[in-house]
Amino acid sequence: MVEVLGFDDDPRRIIGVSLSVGEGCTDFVYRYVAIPRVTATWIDSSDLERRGIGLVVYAENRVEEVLPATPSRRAIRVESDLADRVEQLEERLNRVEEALQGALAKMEELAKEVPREAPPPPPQQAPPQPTPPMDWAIRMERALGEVLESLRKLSSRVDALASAQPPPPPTQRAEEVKAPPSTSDLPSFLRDNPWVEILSKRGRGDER
Amino acid sequence: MSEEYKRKYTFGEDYGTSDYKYGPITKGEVPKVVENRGYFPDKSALMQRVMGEAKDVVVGRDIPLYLEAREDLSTRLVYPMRNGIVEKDDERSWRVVKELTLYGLREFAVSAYDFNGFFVVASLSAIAPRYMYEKIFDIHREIDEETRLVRAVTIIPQPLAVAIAHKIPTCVVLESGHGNTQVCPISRYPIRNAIVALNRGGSDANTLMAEILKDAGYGDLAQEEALVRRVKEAVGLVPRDLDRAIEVAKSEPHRFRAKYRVPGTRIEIDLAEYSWARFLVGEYVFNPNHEIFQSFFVRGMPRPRDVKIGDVYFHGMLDFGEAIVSSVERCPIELQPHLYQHVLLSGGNFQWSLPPQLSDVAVDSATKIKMLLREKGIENVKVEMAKEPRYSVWRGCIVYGYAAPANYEWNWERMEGWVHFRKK
Ligand SMILES: Nc1ncnc2c1ncn2[C@@H]1O[C@H](COP(=O)(O)OP(=O)(O)OP(=O)(O)O)[C@@H](O)[C@H]1O
Ligand SMILES: [Mg+2]
Repeated sequence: MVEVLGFDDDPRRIIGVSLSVGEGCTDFVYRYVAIPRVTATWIDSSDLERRGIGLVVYAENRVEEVLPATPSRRAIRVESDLADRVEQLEERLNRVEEALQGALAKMEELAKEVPREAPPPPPQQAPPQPTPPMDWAIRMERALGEVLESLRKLSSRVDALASAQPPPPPTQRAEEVKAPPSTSDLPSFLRDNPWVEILSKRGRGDER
Repeated sequence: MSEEYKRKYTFGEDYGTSDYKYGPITKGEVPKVVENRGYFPDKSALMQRVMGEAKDVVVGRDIPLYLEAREDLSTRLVYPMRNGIVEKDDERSWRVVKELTLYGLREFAVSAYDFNGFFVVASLSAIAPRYMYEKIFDIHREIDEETRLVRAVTIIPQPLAVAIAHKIPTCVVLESGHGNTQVCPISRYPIRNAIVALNRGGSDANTLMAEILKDAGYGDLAQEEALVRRVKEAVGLVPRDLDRAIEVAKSEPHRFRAKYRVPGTRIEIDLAEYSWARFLVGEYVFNPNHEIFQSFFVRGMPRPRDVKIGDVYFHGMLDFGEAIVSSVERCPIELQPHLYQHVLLSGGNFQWSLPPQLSDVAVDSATKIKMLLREKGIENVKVEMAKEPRYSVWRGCIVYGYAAPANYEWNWERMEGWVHFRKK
């Protein structure tokens, strides 16, 4: 899925989108955000790291992966499933090959005995194939499209909710003014300060 | 109105170019800090409708709740004190200042039976013109009419507040923040006609840092001011002598390699073979006149300009040593040696780090100032760095409010005293 953000977008939006990349999406291997380097200076990378999201930054004709993504657990599972299946197929292919080799050897022997009338060649048996890759890709793409669509709907609802939410109450609170400080617990800058005497004589007409 | 009441209810306000620091005496050692900015939301925006009443300006810690799309920010987000000065008729900026002031006072509103408003000490840049004083008084009067939170108010210049917080009655304060730098001699009073103002601060070092980032292949990141600032603070160095520092850094690239990893992200900035340029950033703050900076100006980097705002002249290219000398030389001759005995550096723009392994060619801010003064033939100098420079202005405000008598009335000639809004 691709979310395009403008360079002048509100930084909070860029951060929000970056942190929610691929959220609600299950069929992915890696999640990355690619953002201008300057934008990356606003984002706490530990937030990305915790979510397993990788970070690619670009600036002045250079692109750099500064934080590698961690593959999704599902991706790891899918990967090992696939490996199993490939192994099974390999085994079956081997057996087919062996059988074919045997059959060929036998055919040659027969051909020597009956030089004129060769029997029709055995039907070529292809190894059993998984769903053709093209089909698989098309179906994946379609599914991805659906996921993307529902994600878009969801995010617009989240946006609407967020903007309607009242802000936290203002933190302004009247602070109690305590009793006047006694001479002993005056702040350090008042203690033994020659200015206290100088200033307390102001207005007596004996200066200037 | 008793002194005891005033001491109990003193309130400090430091209007910095990037941060507003505020709070009552009971806050202890450290004030509250919010960014000195306000947001004018789009009144038709959803957030506004959700919040109920439509506000025309939002300040303080709620701003992030309102921020909308990015392209809006530059017009809707207002930093009223960008260079320490608010223009007289800049209504939006004054709206922000009022809202921020009200926000701070409300936060500490007291319900005690004896409470009848704070004694507020506000602090402005030393070069703030008279109309800014009038505006700040008006704002507090209006707030008092609406809320009864301000019993009386006074305004002191930031360098005076710094001297007070550091318990030094005679000194030269060099205050360098984000937008500009002020040199102000103090001898029990600020010596106003000796003030020297520079149109150069931490933001200019950011501009140079951005150019260096472009050269090193990080042009995309150079546009993010907040990031550039952090890189500058992390890798910038002040050279003892710029030519020598560059030479050594080029011959030992490994030792001087400047790398910065953006916290929490996977992005690392590596100046690599440009690492020697980390010395340019520090030098530029103290003295932008080295010929090497010409090449940056030539390719379009803005040069710190001489400007006149109100009747104050801001120097662009004056080095910090020269600025101190020309300020001190406007003071009485017999006072001058005493002033050089305490040169006090304050503000974030002096907080350069000094890695011990690089101290053969890099120095701290106090040493750099001493060297610049020595170049001008001034030898017998003590320079010290303010402790916790971000809070010293607020602390000075608290001491001032605590000590200055409640019946000391404001006087425009002295520019001191309390403005009382209410008859007894
Ligand atoms: N460690 C550091 N090294 C270099 N510069 C620093 C460091 N820490 C802060 N600064 C710079 O100091 C500046 C902010 O200083 P400060 O907090 O004093 O400003 P302010 O009080 O908001 O503004 P002003 O004092 O100008 O009104 C910024 O430009 C910041 O990059
Ligand atoms: Mg300041």
